[in-house]
Amino acid sequence: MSFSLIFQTLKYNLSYSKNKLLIAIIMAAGPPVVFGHPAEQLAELYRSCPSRQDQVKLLLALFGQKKHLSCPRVFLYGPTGSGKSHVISNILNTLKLPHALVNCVECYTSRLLYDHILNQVAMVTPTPDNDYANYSRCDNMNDFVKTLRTVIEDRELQEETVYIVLDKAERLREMDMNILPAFLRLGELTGCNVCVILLTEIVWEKFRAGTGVCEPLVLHFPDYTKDELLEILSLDCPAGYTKDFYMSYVNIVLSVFYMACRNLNEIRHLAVLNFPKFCEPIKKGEASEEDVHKLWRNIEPHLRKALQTVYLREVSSAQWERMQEEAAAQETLVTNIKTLTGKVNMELPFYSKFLLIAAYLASYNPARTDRRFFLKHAGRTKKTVQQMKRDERASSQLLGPKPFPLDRLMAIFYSIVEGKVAPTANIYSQISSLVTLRLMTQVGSDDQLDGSKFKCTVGLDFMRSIARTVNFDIIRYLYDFV
Amino acid sequence: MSTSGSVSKACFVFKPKAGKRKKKLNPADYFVNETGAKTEATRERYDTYQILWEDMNKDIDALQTDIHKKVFDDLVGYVGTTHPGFSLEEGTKQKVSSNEIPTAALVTGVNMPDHGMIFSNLTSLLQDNITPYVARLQAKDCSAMKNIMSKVIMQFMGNKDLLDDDDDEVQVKRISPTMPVLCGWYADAVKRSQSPNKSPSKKRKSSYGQYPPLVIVMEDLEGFPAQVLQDFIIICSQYLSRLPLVLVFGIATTVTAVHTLLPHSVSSLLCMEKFQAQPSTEYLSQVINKTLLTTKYPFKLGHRVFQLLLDMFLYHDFSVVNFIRGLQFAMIEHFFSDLGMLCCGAKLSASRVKAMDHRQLEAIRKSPSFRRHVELQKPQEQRDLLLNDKHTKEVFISLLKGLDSYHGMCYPIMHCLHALTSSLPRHPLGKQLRELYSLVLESNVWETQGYKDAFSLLRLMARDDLVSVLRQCVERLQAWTESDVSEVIMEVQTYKAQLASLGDGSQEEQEEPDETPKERLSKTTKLHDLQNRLRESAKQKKKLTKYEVLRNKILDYLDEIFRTHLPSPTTLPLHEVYYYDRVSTLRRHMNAAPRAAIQTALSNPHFYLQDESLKTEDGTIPNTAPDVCIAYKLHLECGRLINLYDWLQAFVMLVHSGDENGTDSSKQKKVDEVLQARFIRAVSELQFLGFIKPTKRKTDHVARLTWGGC
Repeated sequence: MSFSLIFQTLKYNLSYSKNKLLIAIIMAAGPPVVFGHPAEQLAELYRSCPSRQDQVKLLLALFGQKKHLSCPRVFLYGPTGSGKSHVISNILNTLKLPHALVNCVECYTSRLLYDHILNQVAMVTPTPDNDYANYSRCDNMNDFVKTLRTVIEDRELQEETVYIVLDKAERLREMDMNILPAFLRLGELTGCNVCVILLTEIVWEKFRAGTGVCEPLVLHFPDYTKDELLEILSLDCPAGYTKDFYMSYVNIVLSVFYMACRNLNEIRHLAVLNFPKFCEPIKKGEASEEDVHKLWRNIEPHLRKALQTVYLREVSSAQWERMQEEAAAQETLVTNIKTLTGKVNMELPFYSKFLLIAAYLASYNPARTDRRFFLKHAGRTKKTVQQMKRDERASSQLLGPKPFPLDRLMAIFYSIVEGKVAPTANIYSQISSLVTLRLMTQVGSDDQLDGSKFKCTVGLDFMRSIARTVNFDIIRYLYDFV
Repeated sequence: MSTSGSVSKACFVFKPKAGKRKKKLNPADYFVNETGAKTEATRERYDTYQILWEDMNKDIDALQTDIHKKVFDDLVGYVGTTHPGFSLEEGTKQKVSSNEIPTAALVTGVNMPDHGMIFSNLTSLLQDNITPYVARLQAKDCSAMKNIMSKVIMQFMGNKDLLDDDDDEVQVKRISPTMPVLCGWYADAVKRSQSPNKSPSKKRKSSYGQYPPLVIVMEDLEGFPAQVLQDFIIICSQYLSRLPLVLVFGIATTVTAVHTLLPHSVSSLLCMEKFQAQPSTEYLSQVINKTLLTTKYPFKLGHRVFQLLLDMFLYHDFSVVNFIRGLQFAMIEHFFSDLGMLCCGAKLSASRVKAMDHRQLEAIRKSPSFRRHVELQKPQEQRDLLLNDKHTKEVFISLLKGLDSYHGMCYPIMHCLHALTSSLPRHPLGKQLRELYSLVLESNVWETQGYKDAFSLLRLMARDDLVSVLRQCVERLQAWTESDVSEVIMEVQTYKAQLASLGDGSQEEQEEPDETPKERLSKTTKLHDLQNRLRESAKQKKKLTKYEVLRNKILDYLDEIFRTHLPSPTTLPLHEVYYYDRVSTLRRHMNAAPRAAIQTALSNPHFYLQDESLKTEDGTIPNTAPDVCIAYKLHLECGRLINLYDWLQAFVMLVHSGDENGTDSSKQKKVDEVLQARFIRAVSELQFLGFIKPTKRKTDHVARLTWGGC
C-alpha cells in the first residue's frame, strides 16, 4: 500500500493527533523503501547528513516515489543549526527532484517570491543573454497559480511531484494575507502534484492567523545531542591528522563550550579557530599525538579565554591569533578583552560631549526635577519618604531612557556647558550627528517643525567616562543617585 | 506634513521653479574693485589666489592619501586575500566550508564630514588594485530592502556599462534587482574578461585576479536600519558560493555598534577583521604643518581666525574638511582686498610694489601696523613715508623682505621651543604644536605666563632629561632644510657636548655646598645664634653646581634665541599683507547662527532691509515694518498661549496707528479682509519659522515655542 493513499484518505485535513499517528505509522513501516532511487544516490545522501538519518528516512517515506502523490504541505521546524535546510536541499539535489528552494528573507515583495519560484521550476536563470528577464511576469497569487500550472505542463512534470521549499517561512506571515493560506493549498489550487515545505525556527501554532489556513504535517528537527555534535565536528578533521586525534580535540572543545553554547555553527567556528593552538606543542616537538594530557593542559586555559568572547565575532581568526600573542606578551588579557569588547573610549567633539550629557540627563531625570538641578537658587530639597518609596518602585535606570523634547535638551545643555555658546547651526547639526551615530534616537513624529523628541541610548558607564573627560560630575545631577 | 497642520487652512501649491538650470558661477567674477569694475589688479589678485590655492590643495590631497596609507594598504591586502579558493566552474568548485562573509570593519572616528573623502579614496584604491566592482552604500539611500538591493545591483552592473558602452543605462533600471540577476551578470562578466578577444580595457583587467571580489562598502553602518542590514547580510551569505562578496563597514563609533545592530544569528555570518583609521586630530596637525607652518605659502592666518577654525574643529565636528574649507574661505577673502595683491612670493611682490599706483599705495599706508611703524620714525622720515611714493615703495619692499626672513626663522625656532616644552608636566605651552603656534600668533610668547612657567620648570630639569630634550631640539631643527638654522644647531650641539663632558665631576661638586652649613651649625650652640645664621643662610644664594651653571647658560641662550626670533607677527609692520584676521566675517560664514539671524531680522528689520523708515528707538514698532515683524513683536508680549483674536486686534491697531485716529473706531467692529489675510499670512510665516504651533488645548489659541521677550 502506498503512503500517498493514506494522505488521500485523510483529505488533506490532518489534525495534530493524527499527525503524530501518521508519523508513527510511517516509522513503523520498517526500513526505508528505496522508492526507485538509485542506491548510490541514497548512500551519498545518508553520508552527507550525519546524525539526521531518522529525519531523512521520514522525509523519503513521505515523498514516496517520483510519481506518487506526495504530502501536499510539510512544516519543518527546529532551532538554528539543526540541519533543516541542509537535509532538505541535500535530498532534493542528490535525488534530482524537481524543486524550487527559496529563502523568504530575500523576497521582500510577494512578486519576488513568485518570480524566484517560477524561475527555479522553469530552470530559467537571468543572464545577459535573456536580458536578465524572469520566466514571466506575475503580480498576484492568481497569476502565479496559473503560470505555475503552465510551467509544470511545459516541463512535462505532471507525473512527478514538484517540491517548493520556503526557508525562513515565518516571513510569509508578514506578507499579504493570502499568501500563506494559498501556499498551503497550492496543490489544490493548481491541480498539480505540488509539495510545499515550510522551514522555520518557530512552532506551527504561531502561524495560525486569519482564515483558510490548512494544517500541514508538522515535523520537528531536535537539537543535536552532544554525541551527534561530536560526530559532525569530527568530519572537519583537517588533512594530516588522524581522526581519533581530532576527536579528542573536539571532545576538549565541547567540554569547555558545551555549557555556554550549543550552536553547531558557533562551536564549529571555535573549533577551527583554536585547532592550530592545540597542535602547537606537536609542531614544536614537545608532545606527540598520544600525549593527550599534556595537550589538554596546554589548550585548556586558551579555550577558557576564548569562552569570554564566544558569540562576539569581532575579529577574524588571524586577528584573534595576533591578539592572543600580544596578550601572552603582556600578560594583561583582562584589559585586552576589555578593549576588544568595546569599552574603548570614543573621542567626541567638546560640545557633542555636553550635548550627550544633557541628553542623558533629560532622558533619565524626571522633568519636574530640572528646576532643582539647574536653577541656581532652587534650594536642595531632600527626598521625602514617600518620594523615595515611589522612586524605588520605578528607578529610571531600570526603566530605561524616556523621550524628551529638543527644547529641554537645549535648556539643560546651556545650563551645564561652561562659557557662552552661541546657538549656531553647528550646535544643531551635532544633534543630528549624534542621532546618526545612534547615541541618541529620534522618537515619534519626524516632523521637524512640530518639536521632535529624542531619547539617549547610551549606558551609564559610557556616560560617566565621557563626563569624566570634561570634568563633569554626572552622578551629582542624576535624580536616582541623589 | 507640516503644512497640513498649518494655522490657516488652505491649499498649498508648490510649483517647481522654471529656471532649474543653474548658471555656473565663476569665482573670478566676484573679484572687482570698489567701483565694481574688473581691472588688471583684480585679475592679478584672483590669479595669485588661484595659483596659491591650487598648490596648497595639491599638498593637502597628497597628505590625504598619505595619512591613511597604512590602514588602507592593510585593508586592500585583506580584501585581496578574502576569497582564495573561489571558483565558478563546476569541476573545481570546492565546498565552501562556512557561509561567513569576509568583512572589514573600518573604524573611522566621529568626524563625519570627512568620511566621504576617506571612502572615495578607499574606493579608488580598491579599484586600482583589487577589483573593478565596488559598490558604495550610504544609510540615507537604504531605508528599505528594495533600495539597498537596487543600489547594489545598479552600481555593480552600471560599472560594466561604463566599461563597455553607456547606452544601456535605461535598461539597467528595468531589471529586477535580485541576487540571481547579479549571479548571472557576474558569471558573464568573468567569462568575458577571460575570453582573449576582448580588447578594450584588457590591460586594466589583467591586473585583477580571475575572480575579482565584489566589494560592498557601507559608509555609515550606524545609520542603517537594523532590519534591512540583517536581511541584506543573510541574503549575501546565501550567495557566497556563487559571488565572492566582501563587505566593508565604515564604523564611526566602536565595533560594538555591529552587535547592537545585529543579533547573533546574523553576526555569526560575518568574519570580521578590524582596521583602525588615523584619528583626525593627527591629520589636522599635519595639514597645519604643511599649509601654515611653512615658508612655502605666503598666506597665513591671524591669531583670532586660526583660533576660530581650531575651536570649530575641536568643539564641533573634528572635521578636517571643514577646517580646510575655512582656510580656503579665509584665503579668498584675503585676496579680495588690496593687501592681498602683495601676498605672493618675494620676487613677484617686489615687482608688484613697483607697479602700484598712488591709490593702492594709500590703501596700504592706512594699514594700522604700517601707521604704527611710521609713528616710530623721525619726522623727516615720517613725511617721506607718507608723501613720497617712491620712497614708500622701497620701504615696502624691504619690510616685506623682513617678514619673509622672519618666517624663515620663526618656524624652526618654534619647533625647537615645542620640543623643549611639550614634555613638561601640565604642558604650560600646550601639548600640540598648534597650541604653541596660536600663542605665538597672539602676542610675544615670552610675555605669557605659560612661557615663564615653562622656563622655571626647565630650570629645575635633571641632566638626563635636558640632554634628551636638547637632542630632540636638534633633530627638529635639522629637519628644516629651507631655512638657515645651522648656527643655532651648532650652538645647541656645543652645549650638549658640554653637558656630556661635565661627566661625574658634578656629583662631587654637589656635596661641597652641603657641608659648609653643617660645619657652621656644629660650632654654634645658642638657639638665638642658630636662628640668625639660618636666616642669613636662607638669604644667601645657594652656591650653584657646575651643572646648574651650565643649565642656566643654556637656557639663557635659548631664551635669547626665542626672544629674537619668535615675536608675534602682529608686532611687525605690514603683517596685514600676509595675515588674514577678519574673524567676524569668517565666523558669520563658517559658524552660522540661523536663529540669531532670524531674530535680528524680525526684531530689527532695518539691519537687513537698510530702509531708513524702519529705524526706530527700542521697543516701538513702526507700522511700516513688514507684517511678520509686527506679528513677531506682538507675540513677544504674550504668554505660553496666544489668543489669535486678540493678536489680530493688536495687529490691526498697530497697522492703523499711522493713519488718522478718527477712522479707527468705525473699523473696530469689522476687520478689513485684506488686513486679516495679511495677518494670517504673517502668523503662518511665524509658524514656519518655528515660533508658534497650533494647539488643541484651547480653541482659537496657538502655543508659543520660545520663551522670554516680555
